[in-house]
Amino acid sequence: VTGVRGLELGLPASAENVAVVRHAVAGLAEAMGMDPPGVADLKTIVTEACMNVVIHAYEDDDGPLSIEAHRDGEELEVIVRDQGAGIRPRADTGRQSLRLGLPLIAALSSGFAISGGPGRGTEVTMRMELSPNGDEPAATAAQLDAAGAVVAMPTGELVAPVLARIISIYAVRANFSVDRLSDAVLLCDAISAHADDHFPEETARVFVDEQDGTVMVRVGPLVPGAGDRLLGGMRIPEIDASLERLADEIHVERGDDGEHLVIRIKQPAFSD
Amino acid sequence: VIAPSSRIGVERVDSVLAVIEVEGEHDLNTAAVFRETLTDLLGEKVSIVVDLGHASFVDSSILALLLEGHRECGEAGLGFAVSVPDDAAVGVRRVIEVTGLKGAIAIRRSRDQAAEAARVEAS
Repeated sequence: VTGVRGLELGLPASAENVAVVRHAVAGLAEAMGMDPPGVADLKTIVTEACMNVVIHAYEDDDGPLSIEAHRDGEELEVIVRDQGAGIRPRADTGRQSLRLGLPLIAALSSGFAISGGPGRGTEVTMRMELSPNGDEPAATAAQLDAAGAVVAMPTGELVAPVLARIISIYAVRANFSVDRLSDAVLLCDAISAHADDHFPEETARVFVDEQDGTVMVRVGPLVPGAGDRLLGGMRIPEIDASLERLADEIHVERGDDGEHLVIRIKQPAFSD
Repeated sequence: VIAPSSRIGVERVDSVLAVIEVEGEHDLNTAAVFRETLTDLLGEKVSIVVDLGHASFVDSSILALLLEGHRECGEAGLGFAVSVPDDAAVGVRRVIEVTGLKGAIAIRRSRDQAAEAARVEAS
């Protein structure tokens, strides 16, 4: 089928409507020639983005949920928007699903970005290749692992919850114990809390990857000198420890692509 | 294309094991039914197998309930395992793979193997 240009969808942000969006976008992607594994991944990422809106965006009533999907070169770009309160940390929900949702989007999409903030609603933009690698089979989990998650978001209060969720899934993937997972999240919270002044253009950029049981977090590009300031000035009050004590390795990298803080954390070998 | 119908059923295998059959698409919208089913079976003090062989879609709220079910069964001294056969829906296999759920929960390729794993966990 040619000539399918795109899709715009608006509907109340209720749980039952998410299936509508899922099927609408999957239908569009199939029409554009996306292969079945790609469509399966697309259904997951669209569902997770919409569920975030359903759960987080509006306090009482079902506010609007808007979806835009269109071809952009060889990719399908899907934008999920709400006009709600923005993604906020909610310590009391106890919902594990929200710790899995955004990392799933990170792992299964070819790229994603979150923008917005308090009072401005939230917009999640996701990209999926329409025909990955020609006739090659779809990416395996190992390939997805190697690709890691590239995250960009406005500096501010979005950074901590989003980063914590992404780190969590990589920690789970690395078979971290609950304690070690907490360490990884504490590290990221500390970076998030101190990082506002350290990113150029008010955009926090973080790359997260996991390999052979080690989670790697690459924070940046940072403004010049910020890496050392982060490294030197940061203590984590909850455990009265420095970053160096929590991480297995932490250092500042300076290269053509700017200054980055690189952290590696792994599960210690069991001593018994 | 009409969305496949969604159903959550229970088969009581014997006095110590039950299978939750998850069919069709499941997300936050049906998660409460799944949660209730888990709670009921935990109340009966039986080990649980969740069969995803006929599930066409599961989202993170269902994955979270698998983790919850696993934890709660463990705390009650009961077994918990999930059956994901090779011919399960590609989307279901992908989310389980990519979230690393295999590292946390016994995931087997047939209902029988999952039942065996759940019985071993309980013993």
